[in-house]
Amino acid sequence: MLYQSRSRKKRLRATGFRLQGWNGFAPSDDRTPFLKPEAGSPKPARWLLVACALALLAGGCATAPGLATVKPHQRELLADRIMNLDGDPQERAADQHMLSNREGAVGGSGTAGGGCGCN
Amino acid sequence: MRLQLTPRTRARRLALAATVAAWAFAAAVPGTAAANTEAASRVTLFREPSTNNNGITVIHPQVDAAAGLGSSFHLVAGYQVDIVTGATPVTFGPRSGVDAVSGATHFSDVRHEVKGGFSFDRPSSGLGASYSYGWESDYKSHAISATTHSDLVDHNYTLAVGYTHNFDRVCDNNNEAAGGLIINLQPLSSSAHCFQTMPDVVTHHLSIDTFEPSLTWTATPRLVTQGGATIQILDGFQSNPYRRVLVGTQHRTPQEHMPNFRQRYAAFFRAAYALPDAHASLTGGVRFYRDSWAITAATAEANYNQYLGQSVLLTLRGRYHQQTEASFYRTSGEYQTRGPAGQFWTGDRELSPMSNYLGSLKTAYLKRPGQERSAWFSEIELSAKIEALFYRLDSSDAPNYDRSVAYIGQGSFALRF
Repeated sequence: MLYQSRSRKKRLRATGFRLQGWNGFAPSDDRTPFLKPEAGSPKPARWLLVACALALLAGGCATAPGLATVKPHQRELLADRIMNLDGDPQERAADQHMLSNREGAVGGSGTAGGGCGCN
Repeated sequence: MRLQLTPRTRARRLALAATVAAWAFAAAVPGTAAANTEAASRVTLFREPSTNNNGITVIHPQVDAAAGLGSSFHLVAGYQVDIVTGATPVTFGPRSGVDAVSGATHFSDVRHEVKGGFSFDRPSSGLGASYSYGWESDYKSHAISATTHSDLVDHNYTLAVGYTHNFDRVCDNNNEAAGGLIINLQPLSSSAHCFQTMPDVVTHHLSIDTFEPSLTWTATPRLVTQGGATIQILDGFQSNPYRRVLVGTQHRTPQEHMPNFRQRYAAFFRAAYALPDAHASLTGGVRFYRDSWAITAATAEANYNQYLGQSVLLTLRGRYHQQTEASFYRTSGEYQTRGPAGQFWTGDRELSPMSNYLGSLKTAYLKRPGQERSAWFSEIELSAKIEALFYRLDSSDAPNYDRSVAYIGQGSFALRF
């Protein structure tokens, strides 16, 4: 099984579930934990907050005065379609539609209209 | 979603009519809107064969049209259809042994979606909004979206934020007779009475809020990078209303039962690098994902884009995805011998520990008139794409173990003025 290095119990606790003891609903296995979400909303994952903070920090540092910027006349290559991170929007929609129905993960493909800063 | 035989010919006629309307719209608009007018149509064929039954086949036509009204205001409209046919086991249970689950139910259904929106763009910023409505025999969805972006520091950065809210409704069996005992929940047998005032079905609500911020950085004349996140909150019915799960040793097969609340988080980083000497570029990215059902996932993707002459563009794509299981997921054998993990049970492959690989080859033909003033278009694009998606599941008792590969073919035609 994939990702067996982390214990199941540790993962459950990290994501807002708690173990309610060992006498749950399971009809044949008394080791089965009875899972219930914690009351209220689970807190956002800590690693995501750290990632956002780092991204903001990186963005802030990069926008500091004095750092070199790419001038408009240097953007010829960036304006080509093959430098578009999102590709064709219709194709992107079809790909996401297919994959989001076949994987447990979603998102992470950019913001619609996010642009490339190349205009 | 399934189990109701819907007239597919009607869907095909609707798709054809929408295509004709989109192209007529695009042909009529150039006289009034000088630039940024586009009509595009695309058909995707998805085929996932099975070693046990007919597998799944999806035909997915799309048509989209966009028109600029003046230099800043743009309108967009689109229509798409999913024509789904196939066979799938109604009960998630062991594939062998005394309680082996065999046989599959054939189904056919059609999902339609229409959308419309606008965008208003200034030299350094823009905003847009859109609405879409999707419907099928047992599921209806209204979605509103808003996006805004702003260029900063001489257009070297683009900060963008998008938000979408879905107002979805799902048809389900009326389980009043279960008396509140989840082990007695019975699945929906047919969508024939859905969204009518019939006593044998009920309608559940599902709301989905999606927030997507991103920051794009033009790092050098050859390199553009982007980082961002997706935060999604789902609240409402999320089970497959038709699916049963064999739970325990007493041959109980209640309806799939999943939590009503889910929070999903993804962070991503992407980049595109130009290779001007080769008339090519490299694009790719990584995504890390985690949700409140204890699924963690990592995805990596790379694309190589190569011009062959002036008119042909070749794209090679590779993608890898790996994920852990949801906290309440078990294999069919474990659900039977150990029972459920608490009060939830599922037979959904998306919630199992799995990985998949995708390989893709796309060829596009681009026709541009160059400096000819008499040309009535600015670009014609014709493209074809083939893909293969390989699944790797960790157990022969995992859902859809009989479907280990999917083939995707896609063709498109776009006309830009």
